[in-house]
Amino acid sequence: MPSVVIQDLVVEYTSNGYPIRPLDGLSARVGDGELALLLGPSGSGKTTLLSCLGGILRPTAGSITIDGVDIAALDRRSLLAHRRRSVGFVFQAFNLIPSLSALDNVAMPLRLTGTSARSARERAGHLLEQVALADRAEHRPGQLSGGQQQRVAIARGLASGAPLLLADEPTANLDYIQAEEIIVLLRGIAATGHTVIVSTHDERLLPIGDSAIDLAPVLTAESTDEMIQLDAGEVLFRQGSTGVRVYLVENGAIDILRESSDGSESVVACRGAGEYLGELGPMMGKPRSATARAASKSTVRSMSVHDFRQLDADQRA
Amino acid sequence: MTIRNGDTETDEGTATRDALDRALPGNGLTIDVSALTTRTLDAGELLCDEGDQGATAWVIVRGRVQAVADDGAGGERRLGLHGPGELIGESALLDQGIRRAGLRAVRRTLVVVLDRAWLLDVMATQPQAAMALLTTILRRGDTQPSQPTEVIAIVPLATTVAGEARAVATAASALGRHVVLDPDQHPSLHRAATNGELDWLDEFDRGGHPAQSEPGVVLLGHPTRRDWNVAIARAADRVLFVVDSADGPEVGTEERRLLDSVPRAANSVRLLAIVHPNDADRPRSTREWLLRRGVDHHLHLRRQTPADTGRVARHAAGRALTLAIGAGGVRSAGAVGTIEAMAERGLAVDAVAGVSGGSIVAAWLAVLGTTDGLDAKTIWSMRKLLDYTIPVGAVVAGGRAWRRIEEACGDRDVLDTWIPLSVTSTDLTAAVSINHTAGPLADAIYASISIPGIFPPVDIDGHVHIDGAVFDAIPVEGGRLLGAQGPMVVVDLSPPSGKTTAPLPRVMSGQRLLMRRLVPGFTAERVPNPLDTIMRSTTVASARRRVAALEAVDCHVHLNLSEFSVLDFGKVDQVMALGKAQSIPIIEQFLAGPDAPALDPSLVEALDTRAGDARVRHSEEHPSIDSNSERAGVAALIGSLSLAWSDLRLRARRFAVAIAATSVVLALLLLMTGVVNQLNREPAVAVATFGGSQWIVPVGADGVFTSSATFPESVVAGLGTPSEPIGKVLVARYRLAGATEGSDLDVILVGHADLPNGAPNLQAGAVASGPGQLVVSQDAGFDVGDRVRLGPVDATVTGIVAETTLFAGMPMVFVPLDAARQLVVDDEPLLSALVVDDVANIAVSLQTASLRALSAEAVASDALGPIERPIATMRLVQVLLAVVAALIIGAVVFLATLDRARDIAVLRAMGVNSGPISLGVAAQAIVIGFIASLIALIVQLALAPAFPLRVFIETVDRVVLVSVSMLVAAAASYGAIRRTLQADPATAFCGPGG
Repeated sequence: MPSVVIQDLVVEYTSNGYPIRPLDGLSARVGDGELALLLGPSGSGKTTLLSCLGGILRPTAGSITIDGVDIAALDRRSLLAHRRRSVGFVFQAFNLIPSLSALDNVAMPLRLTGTSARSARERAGHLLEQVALADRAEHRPGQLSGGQQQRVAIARGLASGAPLLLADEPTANLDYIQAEEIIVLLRGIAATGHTVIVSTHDERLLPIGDSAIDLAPVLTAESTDEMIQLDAGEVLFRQGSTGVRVYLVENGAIDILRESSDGSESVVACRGAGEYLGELGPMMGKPRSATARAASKSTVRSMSVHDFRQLDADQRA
Repeated sequence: MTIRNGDTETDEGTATRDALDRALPGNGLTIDVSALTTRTLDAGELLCDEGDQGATAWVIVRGRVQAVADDGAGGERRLGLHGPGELIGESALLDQGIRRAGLRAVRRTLVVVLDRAWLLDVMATQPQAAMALLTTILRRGDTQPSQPTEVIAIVPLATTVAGEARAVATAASALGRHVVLDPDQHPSLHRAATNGELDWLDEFDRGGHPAQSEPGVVLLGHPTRRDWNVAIARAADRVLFVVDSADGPEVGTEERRLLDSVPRAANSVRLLAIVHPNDADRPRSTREWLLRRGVDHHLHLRRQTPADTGRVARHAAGRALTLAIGAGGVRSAGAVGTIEAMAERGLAVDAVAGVSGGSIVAAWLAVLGTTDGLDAKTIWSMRKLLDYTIPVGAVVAGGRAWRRIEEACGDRDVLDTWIPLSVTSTDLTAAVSINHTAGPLADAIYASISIPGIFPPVDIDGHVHIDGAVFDAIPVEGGRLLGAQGPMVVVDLSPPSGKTTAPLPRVMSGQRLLMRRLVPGFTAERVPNPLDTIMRSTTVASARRRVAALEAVDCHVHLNLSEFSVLDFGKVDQVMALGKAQSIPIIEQFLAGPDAPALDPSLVEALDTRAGDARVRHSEEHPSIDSNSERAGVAALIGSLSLAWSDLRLRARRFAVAIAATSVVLALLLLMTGVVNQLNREPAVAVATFGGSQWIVPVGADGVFTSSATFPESVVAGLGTPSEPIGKVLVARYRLAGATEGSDLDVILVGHADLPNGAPNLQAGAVASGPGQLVVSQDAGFDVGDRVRLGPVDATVTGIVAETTLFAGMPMVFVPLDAARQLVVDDEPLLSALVVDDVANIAVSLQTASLRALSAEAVASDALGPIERPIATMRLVQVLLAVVAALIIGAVVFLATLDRARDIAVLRAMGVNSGPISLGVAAQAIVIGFIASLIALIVQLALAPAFPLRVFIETVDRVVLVSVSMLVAAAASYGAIRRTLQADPATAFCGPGG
């Protein structure tokens, strides 16, 4: 049995008068001691989901069961206790308290929730050792590198002894070497029995996850690939339109044109057989940034982002 | 027994023989069946009425007979239910006495009549067997009546609920002893039933069916087959009508027809099950449904909800469990533990009754319809329930309790709960215990918990209601009203019998007890708090009823939670935990007992899942969150102060600027205080210079220095002989000019002679002794020997007096009386005032001389008159300065809080309460205020000499300044604290800088 079960989760709020549903009917499970990755482009609801898991945001509908407790049904006070006892947080921006030393940063949440100063600092020291920062315990965040700050933040996330650690884009602000340290550290934490849920769009994390929750926008016609015949001059898609398909040129050639605001067009690229186009918009959930028009009589394969990813991964493998 | 009957063996005859055989077993009796008469009764027909004279007994061959008695309130009480093979009404056969109960057929019934003639005949012909028969009859009173096969009909009244009805029937069959029948699978039965054949249920009654050993049979109706529905509804001992909430409470035509075809008396119990959509948040308008239908009890169920289906099935099958939760204030929350312990063992609560604190738990369970969230809701309801008030109506205002209850219940009716609910209160007006099974839920709960004297009483329909525990400490009676015919489980919170307290002191001095509690080193004496005492007294009356109530319960969960004070609502969670621990062995024993209750399949399934889910938790040690909440509170407090301090250090520069600005403002504030002090004391000091405690002035003058009234010196002679010299004073506004141009200043010219102290207090030089000499206050800035011009006259300063000014620093100039007269009254012998120490012996003559005496204080305060407005203005400026200080501190702390918004959000996200964080913010402000005020004390010393007016500051002013600054600073942190409280933990997730 997984220790985190998400069922039919819906989060809805209003932004400038438009209803927004960052999460719509999400179901997922994460097993005990797993390192799970939340994947998806910005705005796909990763942070929203983490907030719900962490008891910070109350979902509009659905349930989140952590260790048998449906936290979506908890009242405010119980949620606070849930945050205190059951989850640890690691944030994208580290969010260390600038006035406190590394040691105090780890110890302070414990102290503020009623642990005595001595035992909180003792535990903090122990955790800093675990993240290999014992020698920098008295440094303030400003004197630490990003990777070190994030390690302090991880130590802080573990301080309460919570079984679940939620990390929001923990490597987003880090360079490759520092990110690797963090990845290894998170992997190690999962190995000691913690359930770790990491939201990321950092490809480097993919291989170390036990499971992944893909929050990429649900795309229609997910499964079927189809062939599209285009005559010369026929438009495949227009700049500014939204689409969910990625296209692979089977034969012929497709021009990629960018339209300027004065109405003029300029060809920025041309895709020939075996090349793909239109992958950025659908993958990032954004409108097309250019128009695609057949330069000659062409055949393109239209595929879903998922299939495209698959294809891409296969090719790389 | 041998039964003889006629030559023809008929079905009827066989049935009769069987019935007699079972009713009068093993007596060696020979009965001639053909000689006996039989009687057929329609459903609802009376065989005999209570109070009738009777001489016959009957043996039931087919059908069902209900014994009923008058309940003394115009209704009837149902006694036993009797079926085929039972002997009824037998005592009249012996004594020909009054029937103690009425007997009524609940469906078409066939009985054999055993009359007195028959008995006499048997006694005459078969004395041996007759003796045995009488023994059987006499012993009948001692034995339990045999349970007839119970017939249960489940009738869906709409096609939309047929599935639910079937699910309920299936669940009832899973209770192990019932058979589900579907008319389609039993065409013969269907035919027999709908043809109105009397014996169609015989196979169950007689035991000819495989279900022979079973005490019950479940018959499932069909939404479109009215004849079948009518047949089973007429035959059923208990009938469950299933309706769809979507159809609305009106009785549909088909339902009306069905109900019209089945006499009310036909069923011993009628239940109504209302089916709701499976995502329904709560049942509504149940009252409307019940008003239109004559049913005994109602049930709610959601589609596709196994827990609900199971509950309705257990109610239908008469195996529903009732939980009665007793009174005990916060101890009642122990029942939450009991309910959890039961649920974890597969035992669901099918009906719940509560009283006092127990009503809160009962209501939540009923409203939620599940154990999930029960603990959280109960904690929410019970924490901080008490708001103490001036005890006019009650000790507790009840506002909090009422708001919580109202917030939770809204306009919900007691009827509108998933699990049937009863809440018990005491009707003080009628002096009876009331079990609320309908009516506004909020009122019922509020009434139930209103401990007399502690909570205010509640009015319901013009009756005053108080805590139900006054009569019923355990609401078994309320539980029974819900009609669940299965086991009764009671959670009893009454303290254990025996001594419960140490010897109490005879005198309980409040101060002494408080001191022993508050001062470290004393051990607190354990004495009951007055509320506990009141509470306990109110339940004394219910103690006797408790014993009676407990007699008929199946499981008595007696929790000993007396270590918790009844009103200590802060410890709800601990009470629950202990309650659960104590309940577990009792519940397990109950489950292992002979009358084990029916388990709920959905709960059992959950149990299995959980067992399969058993896994090893990682064994990392958790930090010890101090179980002692006070120590944890102190630790959090110290933590927050240390956080605030390190933040102060980080932002030292900004705070230093704030401190500097604030200290200047505070220094000005202090200087203002000094000036106001000086202005207030100036006249008193000046007046004191003259010596003498009384001043004599003309009648009509309010003072000396603000008036120009004079009187002739000649009156002095008429005043008699005072004990001491009479000082003579002439006062006038005058001008004094120094040697340099433009150094003119206004002075108060004082001509004097014979002052009680001889002369003004000289600080330097000598008294002016003739014209051209003068003495001036040090504030004028002259030295001895300076040449000055006094009006038109040149003069020399011969002496300086200390601090003698009036009207905010106008110096006094002292000259001899004659010199003054020369200057201001053309040498007339006039005086402004006389200065004496004692007026006792001249009091009479004063009046005749049109003079009056003023005390020195009165003269001083009169001199204050002209500058009262300036003083008031300065006081206002003082307040404004304090506001400015507050604004500076408030602004800098608020900015710091804005800067720390992310930190605060992170801490909130990590489950830190807003309390400690806010406290840290306030502490920062107070520290700023404190440091700034200390600096202000020094700044003031530097600024004071620059002031044209003397600044007079005392130690008390400094102390006041420091404390006011800290108070002002604390108030100034309000905005920042508000900001802190509003911090949204979600912002912790924002990216850098966001």
